[in-house]
Amino acid sequence: MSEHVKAVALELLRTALAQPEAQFRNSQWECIEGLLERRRLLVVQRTGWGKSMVYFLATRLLRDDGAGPTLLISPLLSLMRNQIEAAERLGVRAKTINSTNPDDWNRIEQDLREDGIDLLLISPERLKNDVFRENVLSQIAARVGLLVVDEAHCISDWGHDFRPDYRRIARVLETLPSNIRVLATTATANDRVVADVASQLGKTIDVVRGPLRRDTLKLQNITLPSPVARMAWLARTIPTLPSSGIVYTLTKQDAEHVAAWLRLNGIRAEAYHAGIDQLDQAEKDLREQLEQRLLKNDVKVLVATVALGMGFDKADLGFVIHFQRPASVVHYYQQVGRAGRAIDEAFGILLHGAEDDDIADYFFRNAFPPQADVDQVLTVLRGVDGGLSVPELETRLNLRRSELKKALKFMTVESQPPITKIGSKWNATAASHTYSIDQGHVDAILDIRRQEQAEMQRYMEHRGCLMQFLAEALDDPDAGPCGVCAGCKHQPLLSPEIDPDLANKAAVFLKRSHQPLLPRKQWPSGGALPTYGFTGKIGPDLGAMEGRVLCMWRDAGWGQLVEAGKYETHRFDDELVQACIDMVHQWGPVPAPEWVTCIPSLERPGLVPEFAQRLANVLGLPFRVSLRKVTANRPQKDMENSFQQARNLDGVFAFDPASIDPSPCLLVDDIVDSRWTMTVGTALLRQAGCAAVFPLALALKR
Amino acid sequence: MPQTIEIMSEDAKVILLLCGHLGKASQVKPLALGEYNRVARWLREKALRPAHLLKPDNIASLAQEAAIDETRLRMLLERGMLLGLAVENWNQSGIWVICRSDSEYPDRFKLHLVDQAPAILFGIGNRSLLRGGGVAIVGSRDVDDAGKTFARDVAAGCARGGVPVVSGGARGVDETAMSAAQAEGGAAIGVLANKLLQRSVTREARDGLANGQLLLLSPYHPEAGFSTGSAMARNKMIYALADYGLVVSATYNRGGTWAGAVEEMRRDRARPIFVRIEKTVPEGNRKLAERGAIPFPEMEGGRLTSDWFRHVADVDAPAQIPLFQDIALADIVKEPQPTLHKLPHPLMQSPAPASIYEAVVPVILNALDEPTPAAELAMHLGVSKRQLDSWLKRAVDDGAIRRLTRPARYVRKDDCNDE
Repeated sequence: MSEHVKAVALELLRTALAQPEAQFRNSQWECIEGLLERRRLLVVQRTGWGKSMVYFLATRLLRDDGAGPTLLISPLLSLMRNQIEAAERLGVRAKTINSTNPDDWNRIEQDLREDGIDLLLISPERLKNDVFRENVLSQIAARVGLLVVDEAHCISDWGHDFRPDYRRIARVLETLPSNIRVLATTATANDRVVADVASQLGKTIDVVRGPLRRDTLKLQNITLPSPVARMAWLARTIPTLPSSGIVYTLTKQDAEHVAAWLRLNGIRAEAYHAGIDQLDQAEKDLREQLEQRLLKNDVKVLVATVALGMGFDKADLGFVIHFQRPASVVHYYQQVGRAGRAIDEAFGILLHGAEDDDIADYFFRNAFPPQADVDQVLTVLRGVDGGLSVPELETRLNLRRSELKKALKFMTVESQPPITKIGSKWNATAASHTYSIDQGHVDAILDIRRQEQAEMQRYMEHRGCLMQFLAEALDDPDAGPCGVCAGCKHQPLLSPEIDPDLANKAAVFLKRSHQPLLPRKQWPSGGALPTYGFTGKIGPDLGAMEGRVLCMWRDAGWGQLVEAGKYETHRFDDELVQACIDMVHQWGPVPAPEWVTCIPSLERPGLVPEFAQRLANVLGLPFRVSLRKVTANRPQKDMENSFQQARNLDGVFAFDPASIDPSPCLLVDDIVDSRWTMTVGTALLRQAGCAAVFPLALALKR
Repeated sequence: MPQTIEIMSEDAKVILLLCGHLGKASQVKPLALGEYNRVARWLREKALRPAHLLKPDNIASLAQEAAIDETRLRMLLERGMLLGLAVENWNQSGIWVICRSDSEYPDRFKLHLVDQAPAILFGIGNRSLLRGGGVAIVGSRDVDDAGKTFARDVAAGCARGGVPVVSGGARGVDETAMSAAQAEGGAAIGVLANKLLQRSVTREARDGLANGQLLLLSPYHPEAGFSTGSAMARNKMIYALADYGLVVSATYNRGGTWAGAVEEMRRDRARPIFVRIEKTVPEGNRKLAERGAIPFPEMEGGRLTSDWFRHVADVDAPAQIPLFQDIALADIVKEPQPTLHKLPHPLMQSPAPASIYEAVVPVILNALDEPTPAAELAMHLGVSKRQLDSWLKRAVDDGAIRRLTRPARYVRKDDCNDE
């Protein structure tokens, strides 16, 4: 490649950065040069090294040479503001297409047709969407010059972050002709994953690898077994930390709890997880808004699951704290490595709790669908011609929708898939006759994940340099002591002490995490409740008011007391009555309930009525048994999806018209899972003339 | 999960880029077969391979000499991402793509159809059936019961005699014949005019595809809809894949069956065409007989072997074709072709196997170094036992293999000492 091109590229770099003296970082130019020479590259560089500059400059140079636009596949929701600015200065017209901006698609499609876009960012999930493929993607796919695959470690199922949609990308890469340039990038991957990714990207890929160490990031580990202690520690420590940062939790529920707790302590904190977009349909780009607020230091901390991760890039992130131990060193480095890029001092603190192993076990058990689920799905699909949609499958299978989708997804990304989707219907393919999960391979992956857990455990106990431990575990050839971590300093950087008053407050807080119980809006499709004749929308004539649940099943607050009452003492403790009274007072349902009734049970006929009676006594309201159970059905907890849950309730309750008062009532049950029992019970009470029904339950299962 | 991806050759990718319909929103028209033939000719003259077209320097001269618009060629070749997405999508459903440059591409198409050999084939199922051979059983959709019974009997007879049935997968005669062949444990090849994908997931097709008895092929996009033109165009492929044709019912001067049979009979080195002549057959059947189609003779014993067909068609060996008189020679990959082990058995020395049976016999013989039970051999060779049984039976009849008893085993004739 001529010196002339390099000179042009350097000028472009300086323009992009608006720094007339800027120079290429280590191996940036070599990567650009490789792409211009049509080599395929896998670039392993830490966040902030400037991967986006490589593909922006390559895009500019290739476009000037008459090539088609660049397609960037990334889990990122959008380009970062500083990236957009750099692209604009280069004259690279960059656009994003994802599920949150369908209104822009037409415009972008038009721009693509007129060759008015230089770089298009899409998420890997978009690739499987047929409408998108046909209408939008094929416009750009017809002349892509450079394909960039961001976070390429997701291709490897040996990796910590395997995403099924990335396997599709790997297969697309297999068939790409050699006239398309390919750049794959990742910030974290050990040798095994790098080798796996490289082999899936083709034989001719060059790997460019840089050092992982980050000098300004100070690491420390703190063991605080109880969640209460860790919450107290967070509330006291976070206000003392530089800039803004992230607290990582392993579950969505913890993210919500911890964020609420920090807010209670006057810290600007928000929860961030994959579920928040679904909580509020009107706020489709809530996650992006939260990312922007963190970037602008408009919040002190986001309490996030791994959903906040790939691609998120904030140069002055001041701290990353883990509320629980992550699954592997790779995970941990990737998350903690977001801190301390362009800031003098940043903290990476790993808290360690008693529940870490349980959570890790849960993720192990649920990593792959069981063969039994797969067999059930295949048996049903092989019995039909023309295929079945997901709702149709649910009417025939007792599988949770999430389990069903997991099984479907797992099978579709197999190399010889036993199923295929035609239109909206899933069909069995010929490969289904001989298909079974490759258990040897699954076991090998689980084995590796267990080793990774063990390595994380060793990190927790490590006395030497923590940064060196991470770098060595990630096969960084330049690993060495950092000189700034708690290990190197031989003393804690942040005090592990907790304030006992805060700990008490945290304990009370955990016991007060009432959950709203939102009414269901729609009966399941497919006719699950023929006896009652409930179909379609649940209108205002049959629907419930918003209810409340005292706690999460088995959680650290009231959850364990509820479990003991149900299965050991067979009586719910008076403390739970009082807690519910407090909850009702805090809640203040309007119009105020004037009587109390409950969901009946044949298995434990006395448990809930006795509790509801006590609750009614303290509230000073009459208690009446209105619903009777007339048919023994299977335990509702064995029903795995909406259709099965609703169908299991068809005709099992009858009501006594004389007992039903038209005034508002509280409808009490012990444990709520799918909400179908409450929904059917409410609809019957409403049919009998009750004006308003407020569901109240002790615990919510998720 | 183990990766068993069929990686396409760069040559095949280029042919697909040039000729494939890769997306509905396509802005540029793929090359028609005639245009692609000009490209192939140019490549041959320049001693280049299709993959060379991925380097931009060749395009200008190709465009000029093959009289194809240069911008169009460039735009077609830029569709690499589209290609990747499309092929991945097809592979997900079990569908593979074979181009005229691939060694697996059926020689029968190149030899019999010459310029009309399709550039791209989509397929699903038993690829070893691509070698073709057997009988093309064709007829109209609205065939009467007598015609269906006839198609069923002949197809079952072919299955019992180890002769594959080739057909078009349409309702009526096609479907009846293909089902009957599979039900009897034989092989069936369906050359479809449309909807390869949808067809492949029907219950009936799944069984045949899974146990290796069925191959479905189409020169059209796997989700393409029906058109009369494509149905007609694929008829010639049905005959090309077979050694003989058999028309069960044809409407005189109308419809695809009639046109396809007449087209085939006019062709150089036409396949021998039989026609059903019974008391009540459509006028088209009799007219085909007048034009030289052979009235299908009485079946004897319900087992129709390739010898029997050879005998009743009165040909020495089916489909005698001078080798390599081929428009698409430049396409033929110079990769080593699968070589058969050379053993001193006469059957192994036949240069171009005329039927699947003849192609597999050397493989079977080679595997029979010592007395082997049929089930074990079937597993070793990766074929269904039912299929293997029919081959073994015939090989015993032909004197190539000897069957030992207690327990039942098979062994190469030249290896066993006559006790």
